[in-house]
Order: sequence, then structure tokens, then C-alpha cells
Amino acid sequence: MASRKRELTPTDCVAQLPEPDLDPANEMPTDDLRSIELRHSILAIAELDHPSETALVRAVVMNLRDSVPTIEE
Amino acid sequence: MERQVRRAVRLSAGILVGLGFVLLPAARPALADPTPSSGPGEAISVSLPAGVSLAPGSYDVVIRGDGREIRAKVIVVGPSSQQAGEGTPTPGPVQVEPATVHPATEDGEAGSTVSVIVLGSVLAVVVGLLGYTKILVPRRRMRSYRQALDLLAAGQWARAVPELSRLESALPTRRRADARFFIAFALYRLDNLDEAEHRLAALHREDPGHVDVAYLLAYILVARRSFDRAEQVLEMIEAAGKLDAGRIRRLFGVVTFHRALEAFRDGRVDAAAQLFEKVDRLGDFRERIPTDLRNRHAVLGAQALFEKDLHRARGQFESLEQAAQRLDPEHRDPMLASAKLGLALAAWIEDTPGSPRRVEDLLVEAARLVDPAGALTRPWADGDAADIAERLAALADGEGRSPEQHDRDRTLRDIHFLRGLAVLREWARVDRATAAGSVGTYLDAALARLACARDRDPDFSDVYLVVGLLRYYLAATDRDRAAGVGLLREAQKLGTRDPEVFQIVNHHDRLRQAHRDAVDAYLEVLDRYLLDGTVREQVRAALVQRLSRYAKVRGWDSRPELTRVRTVQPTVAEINDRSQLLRERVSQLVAMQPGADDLAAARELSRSLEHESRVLSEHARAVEQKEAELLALVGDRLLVDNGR
Repeated sequence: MASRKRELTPTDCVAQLPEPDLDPANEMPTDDLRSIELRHSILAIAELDHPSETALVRAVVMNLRDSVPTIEE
Repeated sequence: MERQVRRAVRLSAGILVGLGFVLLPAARPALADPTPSSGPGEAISVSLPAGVSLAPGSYDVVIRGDGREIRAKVIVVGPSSQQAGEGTPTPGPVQVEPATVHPATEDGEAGSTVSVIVLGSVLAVVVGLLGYTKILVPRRRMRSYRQALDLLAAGQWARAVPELSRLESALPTRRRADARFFIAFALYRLDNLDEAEHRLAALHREDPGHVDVAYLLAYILVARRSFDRAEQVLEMIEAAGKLDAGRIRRLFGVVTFHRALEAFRDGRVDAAAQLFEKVDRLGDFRERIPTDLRNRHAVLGAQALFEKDLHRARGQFESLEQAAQRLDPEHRDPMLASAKLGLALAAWIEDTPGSPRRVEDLLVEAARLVDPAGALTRPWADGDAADIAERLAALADGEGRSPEQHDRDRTLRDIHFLRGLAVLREWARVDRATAAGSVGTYLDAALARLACARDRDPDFSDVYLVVGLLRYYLAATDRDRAAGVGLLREAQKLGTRDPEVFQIVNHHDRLRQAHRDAVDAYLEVLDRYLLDGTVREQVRAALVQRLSRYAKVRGWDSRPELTRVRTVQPTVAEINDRSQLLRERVSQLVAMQPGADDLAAARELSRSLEHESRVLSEHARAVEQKEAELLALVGDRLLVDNGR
């Protein structure tokens, strides 16, 4: 005897839908999100930037030579 | 049509009930009061009057009594029959076979017969109607329903919706709910989100645990970016323990991730951390959560560090450390690394004399947890052609790195950079004697850590800035200083805008330009000298050979104009003029070289040449005087006029 065609179910319907995913276009920019992440904030938390790094090198030179060489303009 | 059928069924049932009330009492006497104590064929004794006898045979009799009249047949059994039955012949008893029981009148009998016929007819009609309504109609309806489902399966949503809407109310309960779902699904596919959501919300209220209804409703709510409502729907499925059905767990992950982002945007960091923890538990989007947002202790610890609340920060990172110990290694190590990193940053901010060593120890632990096989120190190499090629290859490799690898490298870059600066901080603090006596030790330690940072990110300008400044300020030779400037120039290319770097590089460029000008001037002097025919050929050839180790002079000995120079004997004046000119040009060149201590010999030689020229002139003058004297003496002798 021929088997009857299987009837459509709600589960079949939802299975047709695209798989849910995070929409990168609508997500928060990664940098914003990571601004609260510890491992992406090491330099910010340590307050290291070019001026502070330069100052630290000058402190080393001062400790060694009493003065930092001046640059002739 | 359906309504008419139902009405016909109700009418038939009413007629049946009415007839029952009418006919059953008429039939009751015959049916409800049967002849007591005797059944068909049972022998009844009949007493005949004395002296009357009946021959064996069959007799019709009428029995009257109790308001009834019964027609019966009396059979008189002969002796032989009785003998055969019992063995002993006896005078024949009379047996009465009951016949039909009739009411006392003829009208009663006729009524009973009609009633039975009508009842039978009605029953047949009812059975027919029931067959129609319970079998044929549902069968037709199911056929239509399946055709509507075929439309749905074929994507003909607009045709499926009215068909299903027409059939929905007539379907059995279970199929009715499915039909309502299918209508909502088709409406969603037709982009009628309002109506689809409305219908699904009604279905969801009736059955909050229905996975497909909840999924489609939440799916639509996500499409409409109503994440809070989608969360409520999915939480009911979670409570029912059905998260693993279909893709509902994944959808819940999407919804929770967005809820976490919303919380973060609103400044609710704690809530954001909790929601990210849930995304982590749900699983599908674990890798999309930044590592340190998977645990609220890490988030709150980082927040405390930003706020310089070191006590609270340490508390959070110590709790994170304890929580990490309970996890499997895959999840434990990243969390432990964050805890070590947080504690190291607390020590860096605290900035006590012991901080640099504490920072170094904690950062080394963190680095090992992030990359157990990664180098912790490596020799610093200034950029040359080979390094540049190597870096280009590294960059090419870097382009193929996964986002996770990129994140990991960036974390390690910052860890090693901070280690390098911790060395500088300690170096700046020690007493001057120790600092001066350990220049090599401190410098090597700092550069070895900064080299690791550069390995993780060759485009990180801060490393070039720090190393360039160190090399420039601590340079023992021009070569070292130039190497420092080269690194600072690299830092500029990568984005450094520090004014001090700008000054140093500009100053160096000016010196370099001056040097380049001096070289050009020197080559001009040299060229003129080599083409001067008053200089002996051997001297010129030896000079070219001596300078031919320099690229700019290499091959000059084969220049045709040099070989064609005809040598002439110079006069003293020519020698002196030539020498004077050379000395002036050389003096100018030497004056253009700043801090060129190694040019002292050239200055001395120039002075010596000047002296020699002066001596030569004096000698020439002496020669001239002596020549004149000689001529005068000989003239005096030869030209004496003896009176002639």
C-alpha cells in the first residue's frame, strides 16, 4: 500500500527559517564593548601613553646623568 | 453548509427523542409485562372436565384472563410418543404451546406495528446523517486542510492564509491550534509582522510551553529588535526545560547577547556581566563574548581599576581567581590570566618601591597562562634589511590570523610592554650609583621584554618610541645615536606625534643634510684635484686607489678624463695657490661636521700643509735671491769694463 505523504508540521515551518545569528551590523562596535574588558584596557588602566612613556625614559636618563641632553634647534 | 448539517442532525435527534416518548408507552404493555412464569414451548397442564378426553393431535385454544386473550395451540401427545420419551405409557396429558400475545383489542395490535416501522425509519435517517457528518464531512475538510498545507509547503503564503482561516474553526482541537500557527507563519512570510505577532501571542498565552509557537514569536520579536519581550517568551521555554528543542537555545543566545549589550549601553555594567555569563552558559555565542566579559568579577574588577579603587579591584580579582579554580582547564586558564593581570595592574597603580617586581611576577604568570609556549624575553635587534623582510613576512602571516589569535597577541603585546616599563620604573628609582653601574643589565632587561612586545605587534609605535629614546639618550657613539633616531623615525611612521621625537628626528635630519652637502663639496674638491695637471700622476693615482673603498669614489681610476690629464711641472706659486685653495675648502668641510673629534688629524694636517707651503715659498724666495746673487756675482766678473 502506498504510504501517505507526511503532513507539514509547525516544526517543519520554523526549520525553514534562517538560523538565528548575531547581526554584526547592528551590534555595538567592538572597540566600545572592549573598552570595559580588562585585557584590552591594560595600557589605559596603567595610564601609559606617549607622553607618560617619554617621561619615564627621561626619568631614567635623569637618574643616570643628572640631565637630559638638549636638542639644538 | 456545516451549519445546515448540524441543524439537520439536531432535528433528527429531536424527532427521535419525540417518537421515543410517543411510541414507547404504546409498546410498553407488550414489552414491559410479559407472561409470567412460562416461556415458549413450556408444557402447561390443562385439566379437562371429567369424562372428556381428547385424541392425540393439535387443537387451537383461546386463553382469557387478566384482561388479555391468548391464542394457543394444545397438543395432545399419544401413548407411543410418551413412551418413547419416558419409557412408561401413561394417559396423555395435554400440552399448551403459547402463540402470539395480543392486546385485548385489534386496534392496539395495529398501532404497535406502525410504531416499530417509524422507529426503524428514523433510526436509519439518523444513522445516515451521522455517517455524513462524522465521516464524509470531516474527510472532505481534511482534504481541504491538506491542500492548504501543500500551498504552505510550496511557499504560496498568500493563498494559504484564506484557506486555513476558512477551515480553522471546523478542525479538531489539535489541528485547529496547528492551523492557527500555520496562518501566523504564512503572515510572517508575507511580512505582516503585526498580525503574525498578534496571533502567535494569543497562541503563546494559551500554551506557553509550545516550543514552535514560542520560537516563531521570539524570532519575530528579535527581527523587530524587541529583545526584552523575546527574552520573556524564551524564559518560559527555559522554565519548561525545553531549551534543547530545535534552535531555541541559539535564539536565546542571540536575545541574551543583545540584552547584555543594551545593559552595557545603559551603563549597567553588573547586569551586562550577568547577561554575558548567561550567553556563555547557553553556549552558541561563547566565542563572541570578549574573554573578560564572561565573568562579572573580571568586569567589576576592571571597573574598580579604572576608578582607582584598588581594594575593591583586588577583591574582585581574588574572587575571580577562586572561581577559576573550580572550572575545567579550558575555561580556567583565561580566567586565571585575567585575575593575574588585574592584580598586576593594581600593583602598577599602587606604585610602591616593591611594585615593579610584583608587577613583573604577576605579568609573567598571566603571559604563561595566555600562551604557555611564548617567549618571555628575546634579544632586541635593530631594524635592518633582514629584520624588515622578516617583519613583512610576519605581517603577511598576521593577515591570516583569526580574531582570537589577534586578541591574544594584542594582550601579550601589552603585557610584555608593561613588563619593559616596569624595568624602567625600577631603574629610574634605584640610587644613582646602582643605576649607572647596571646600565647594561637594566637596558638589556627592558629591551628583552620590549622585543617580545614588538614580536606580538610589529606596528605598535610605543615600543619604537621607548627604545628609540633610550638608544638616543644613552648612545655612546654616533652610530648608536643614529640607530636610536631610526627607531624614533619608525615610531613616527606608526603614529607617534610626540614633540620630543619630532625635535630629535628633525635635528638629526638637519645634520644629515649638512653631511650630505659636505660630501658633495668634498667630491667636487677631489675631482678638481685629480684633474689638476700640476699634481704628479703617481700622487693622483695613489689617492684614487686609497679612496676607492668608498662607493662614491669606486671606479674613478678608470675615468678617461683622469688618464688623459697631461702632467706639467707646477710653479711654486701654483703649488702654493693650489694648496691654499685646498686648505680653505677642507676647513669649510671640517667646520660642517659637528662634534667630529676624529677630524682633529685633518685639522692638524691642514695646519702642517700651510706651514710647508709657507716654507716652500720662503725657500723659493731664497732660491730666487740666491739666483739673483749668483747672476750678479758672475756678471760682476764677466762684465767688468777695463777701461774699454
